[in-house]
Amino acid sequence: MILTVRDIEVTFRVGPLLNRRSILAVAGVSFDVAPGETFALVGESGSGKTTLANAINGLQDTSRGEVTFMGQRVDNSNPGEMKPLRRHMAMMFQDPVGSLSPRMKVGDLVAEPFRIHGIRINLQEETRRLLSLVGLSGDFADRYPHQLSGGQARRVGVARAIALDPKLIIADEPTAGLDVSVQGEVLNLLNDLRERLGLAMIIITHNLHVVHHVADRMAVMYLGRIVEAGETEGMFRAPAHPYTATLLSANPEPDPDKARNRISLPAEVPSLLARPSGCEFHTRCPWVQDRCAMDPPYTANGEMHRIACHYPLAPGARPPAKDRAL
Amino acid sequence: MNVLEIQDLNVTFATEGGPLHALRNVSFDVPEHRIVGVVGESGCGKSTLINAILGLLADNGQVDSGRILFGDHDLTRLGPLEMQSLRGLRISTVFQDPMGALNPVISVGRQMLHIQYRSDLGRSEKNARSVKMLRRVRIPDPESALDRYPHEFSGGMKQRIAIAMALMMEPALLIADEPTTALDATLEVATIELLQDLQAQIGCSVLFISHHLGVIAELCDDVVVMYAGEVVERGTTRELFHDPRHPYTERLLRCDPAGQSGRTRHLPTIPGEVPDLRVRPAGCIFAARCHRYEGICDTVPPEVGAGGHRARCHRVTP
Repeated sequence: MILTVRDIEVTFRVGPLLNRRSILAVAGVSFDVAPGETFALVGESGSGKTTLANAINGLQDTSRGEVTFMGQRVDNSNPGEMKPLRRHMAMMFQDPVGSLSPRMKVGDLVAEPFRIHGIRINLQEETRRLLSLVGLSGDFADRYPHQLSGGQARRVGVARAIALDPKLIIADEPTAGLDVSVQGEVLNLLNDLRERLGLAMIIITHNLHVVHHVADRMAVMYLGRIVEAGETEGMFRAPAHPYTATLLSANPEPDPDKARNRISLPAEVPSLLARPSGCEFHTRCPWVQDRCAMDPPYTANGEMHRIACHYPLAPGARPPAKDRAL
Repeated sequence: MNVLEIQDLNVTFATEGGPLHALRNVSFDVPEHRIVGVVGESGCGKSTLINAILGLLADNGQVDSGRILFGDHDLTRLGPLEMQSLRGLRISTVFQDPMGALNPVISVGRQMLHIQYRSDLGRSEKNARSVKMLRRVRIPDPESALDRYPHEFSGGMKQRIAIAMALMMEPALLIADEPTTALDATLEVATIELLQDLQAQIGCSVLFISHHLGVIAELCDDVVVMYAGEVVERGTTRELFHDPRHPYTERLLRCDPAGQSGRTRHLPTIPGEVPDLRVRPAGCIFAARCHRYEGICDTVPPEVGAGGHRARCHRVTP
């Protein structure tokens, strides 16, 4: 395993000074990523995906658990300890233009990782090589970020991410806001690099169609916990957790006549300040039963397919009739 | 009856590199009680189109020719004050980022009161209308929601409050610019269903801009496909998704990962780049990237007739 995440928690302190309360943004998450593998994290906004990514790459301290990358503990490490490892773990941030300094030219932006790590190399040549690798001609080196389209800025982000030959790329919404054609180009590019360089990837997204095509395994998050994890294909075919089933059924498809057997969720997402008792999804679950409000479901680590639910669904299950009226 | 008719609209922007032809001969209608989707890549002129309709083009942009008919008005000829009296009242908007539409330091109730400044109703009646509208967009406990501030609501609820505010004055036309792009699948679907319900209740027309083909397919009655500032195809949603005629539409549909039946690691794309709009090609705008290209495409711009399912392409018999 290139990355091992064990039972990590991230706590934020919120509220006015005299009434500070803490919320668990990531509440005990465990997973592994193997070399050359693509792992997807999905879930609603606010489910803790980005916080989890930041906890892995050292931008966010954890309050419990362990993150091991290439055999070394990286959680709560100081920047000096992290630096030699950081070149092996690259990050692609959500906002493609916003993650590039507006005052630096593309060429300098792509060369920046080499400067930071003090790598002596022919920077001009290397910049050109990287730009051509992501499908941008050499004259892009002289442009500023505001002169790039969204897709081009993404490519620059990819060039920066792969500059130091990392072992793992964490891509936070790598295709948000892109058109389908450009989205395809960025994903194909990442996939080519994965095949050629053997790098592992964690993709954070709420685009389920993308997950279906690019990810080997996926994990679904709800309120900072993984509620289901397993092989992508299997989970799409037969989601076992009610929340996964709901997410997959909600996915809009480009066919006006397609029968939509949607599972509708009644209530709003609960606040992290007032987590529900028992199974935290019970307030919205169409299949809820008495036990769900009392006992939290238990999930074992290390199994191929993990489900945090007392009553996992049979393939193709539909919600009981009384709740469909909602 | 059409609520909005756009006829042969041309818009250019003055830029350092010369005039940029952002919209070229754009024509389509938004009929009464219908939801019309506009789909196209970023940079295809969707936002310019909205700004032209609202009379909010940037200072370096201008309408060169064409008409935008809304009721008895040609919007391209109205002055700023006349446009102001239409915006918000007869034509309203919802944008991608609800926080951009909500003032963070004013309570939701006060903002909803402000929107009704043109109404003669008393304060308590206005507040009652606000509550009614919030209930319609399914905000739980709407009475107490009036006293709360935007940051106290979740992303999906904020967007629903923005929709409530846009529909408060029961406009004839709602322009929705990527209103579900920032939302997740479950919230996206809930917002689509809400828009459909409200449109039916209020009886307004909707111009819905998105690059999400799934959302367009689900929500819209008619679709307009734009490419590099031109309308390349228009028709009903069913016609367009089941029988795409323009090569660009064909390829766009094929690019959507949702359209792939099997699982594939290599996703289809449209090779090539969008042309520089300062030097428009003499012939068809899509010729350089087209898989059905032939000689005539380089020299003669294809035209598109009126009515029905139409594609701006030489290879398509009208």
